[in-house]
Amino acid sequence: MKSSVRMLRPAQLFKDKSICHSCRRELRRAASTQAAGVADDAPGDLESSSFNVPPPSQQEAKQFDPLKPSRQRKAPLPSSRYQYRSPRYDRGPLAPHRPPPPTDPASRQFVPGPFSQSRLESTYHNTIAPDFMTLTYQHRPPGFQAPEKGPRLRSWIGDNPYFANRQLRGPRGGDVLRLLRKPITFRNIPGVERVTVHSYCKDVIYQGSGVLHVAGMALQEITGARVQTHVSKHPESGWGLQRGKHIACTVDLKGEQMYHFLDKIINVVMPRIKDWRGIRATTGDNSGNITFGFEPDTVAIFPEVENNYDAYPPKLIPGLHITIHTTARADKDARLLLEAFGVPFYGKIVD
Amino acid sequence: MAPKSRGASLLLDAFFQASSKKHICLSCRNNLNISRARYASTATAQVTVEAPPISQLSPNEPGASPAPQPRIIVKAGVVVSRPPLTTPDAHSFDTAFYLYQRRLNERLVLPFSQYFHYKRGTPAFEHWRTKRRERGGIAARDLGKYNAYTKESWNDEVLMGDESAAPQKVVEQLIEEEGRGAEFVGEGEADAKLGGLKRATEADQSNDQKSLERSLSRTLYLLVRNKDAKMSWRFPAADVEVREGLKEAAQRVLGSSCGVNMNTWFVANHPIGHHIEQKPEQTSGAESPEQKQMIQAGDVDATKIFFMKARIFAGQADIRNNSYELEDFKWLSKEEVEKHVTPEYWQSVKNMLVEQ
Repeated sequence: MKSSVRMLRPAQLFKDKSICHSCRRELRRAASTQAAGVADDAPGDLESSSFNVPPPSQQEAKQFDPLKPSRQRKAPLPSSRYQYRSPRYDRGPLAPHRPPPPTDPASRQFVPGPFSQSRLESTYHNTIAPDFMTLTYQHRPPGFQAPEKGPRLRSWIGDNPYFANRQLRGPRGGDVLRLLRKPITFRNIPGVERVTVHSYCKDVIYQGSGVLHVAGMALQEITGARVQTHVSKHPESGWGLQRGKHIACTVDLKGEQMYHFLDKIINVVMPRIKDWRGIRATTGDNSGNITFGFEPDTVAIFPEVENNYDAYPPKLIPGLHITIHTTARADKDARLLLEAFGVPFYGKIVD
Repeated sequence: MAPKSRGASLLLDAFFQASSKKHICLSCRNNLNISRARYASTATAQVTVEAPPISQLSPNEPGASPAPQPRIIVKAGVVVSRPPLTTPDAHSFDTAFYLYQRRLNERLVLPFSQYFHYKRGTPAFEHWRTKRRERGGIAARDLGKYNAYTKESWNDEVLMGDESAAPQKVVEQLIEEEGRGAEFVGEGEADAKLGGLKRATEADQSNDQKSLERSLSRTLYLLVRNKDAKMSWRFPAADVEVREGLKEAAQRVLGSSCGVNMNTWFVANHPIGHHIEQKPEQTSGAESPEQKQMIQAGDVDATKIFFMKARIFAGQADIRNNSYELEDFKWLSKEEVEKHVTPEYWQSVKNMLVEQ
């Protein structure tokens, strides 16, 4: 039985067929488990979970004191027993001491988290993403081949000898190559990738760096992340701006912090802005990133600022620019995604 | 059978056994040209006719042969769902992991800047300081009994029976600290501890499967049952009439089966799934008289149901005046749907329903 399996390896059997990688892997795995005689129904042998172990008795649990051994110790432990310092640089696989991976708490790059389950993220996964896929689905009958489009970059046609091997021309009507929008399937449903919160403090020029300190503190409060400041690259005499002056601060949010921030601005801040029609529908950079701004009055509505309003010097609360980077390839999709999150848009839609 | 072909059949058996659990996508299956029948009978020569690529939809092809068309009844079905209203119920591992990460974070981040948030000498500062003392001098409210600034801070594991950082306890403490829990609960209700925040409702306790206030953390789907005892639970479905699109048909079906007292949104104009019933023998009460006769005479080859996706925002199903002989309705989560429908129906329906 085994010899016949050896004669016909699954890799050879399926080599010339055009099947995708994941299916080939599944087939190979199925064939190898059968050849090795491993029962496919019993994967639990290799995995043991601490949830299956019966817990200690109440008596034992009550008596257990994790601090007892260390308190009873007369002499301190040698520091090598409890201190570990990761090497600063990874000097390659042949180095005797390599730093642990960034997921290890002993690593220098370790960042703890996540700390909670984000409301908006779970809504995205269980409601918004399935609906988005249904909404944007376009039916293609089996065997359908889309009509071929012309090349995105044009070649140089003519008698000129310099046209030979010349770099291709850009598209008509401008030299920007837009992103291609692929049909949306379960593999590429757009989602929010990161959010950048940015504040440009032009008052730094005349009032000194205090403005930037206040803006940084406000940004740190409302986002929960450390702020990065930015230096002006070019002098601008009309604005009185010198080169090399700290003029702006940003925060880049990802993951849990990003979802908490989005949840907060959509469900707490935006409904409380007075005489506000929403975000202008023409916003966007043609590749699925949406930017909008908040006035200083709006920043004062954020619960973190509002509850602690006295801590900020008067008239120094900054305005913000918020950029939502999505994985959508077109503004239309990004807007649809944000509308599903609950962001209001107004005005004429331009695609 | 030659040893080589025996090996092939062994492999394919292995593949088919495994493929009941593992996923081989449909297009790959077609490419492999695997069918049980083909490998069971060794001598069947399979002739595949390459279909010409379709670049345009042309209903009237000139070369179409007048082969006998199968008699098929097309139906429109509606999958009405109520999205989850709360976050999913956290697994005990999730809860423990989040707490571990929070305690780790407390040891790594800068300490809480209390004089920025509370000005000295104000009532807010005094309130904060009192509550902080009650927590054992810890600024954070969600860490339980854990001080990150001592020599013994390495001892950050939660002991058995220590509920001081359980999510329920944290919420209770927050509401107690705010002191306004009684404002958000009704008169005479004893549950002021949680300020009216509940993950389980009365419908959960009584397992009222007709209520939309049950299973707040799950998506609920509307299923109906016919008066005929032989018919099992299914999504509301009925015939598509002449000159009617699938969406219009689905809207009409929903109105005439479960009443108009539902504020619904049909997500798209195209179906999200289908179910084929070969040689239907039972009528579901939603057919026209001629179709009923045809089904009873066995003249129908298949019934095809195309499911449209809809969301409910308000209202409730009402089957009192339905036109399809419906007897009962239920709002069910995915696992409950599996228990209520037949296995064949479940196979065609399960991939339309979201996990949570």
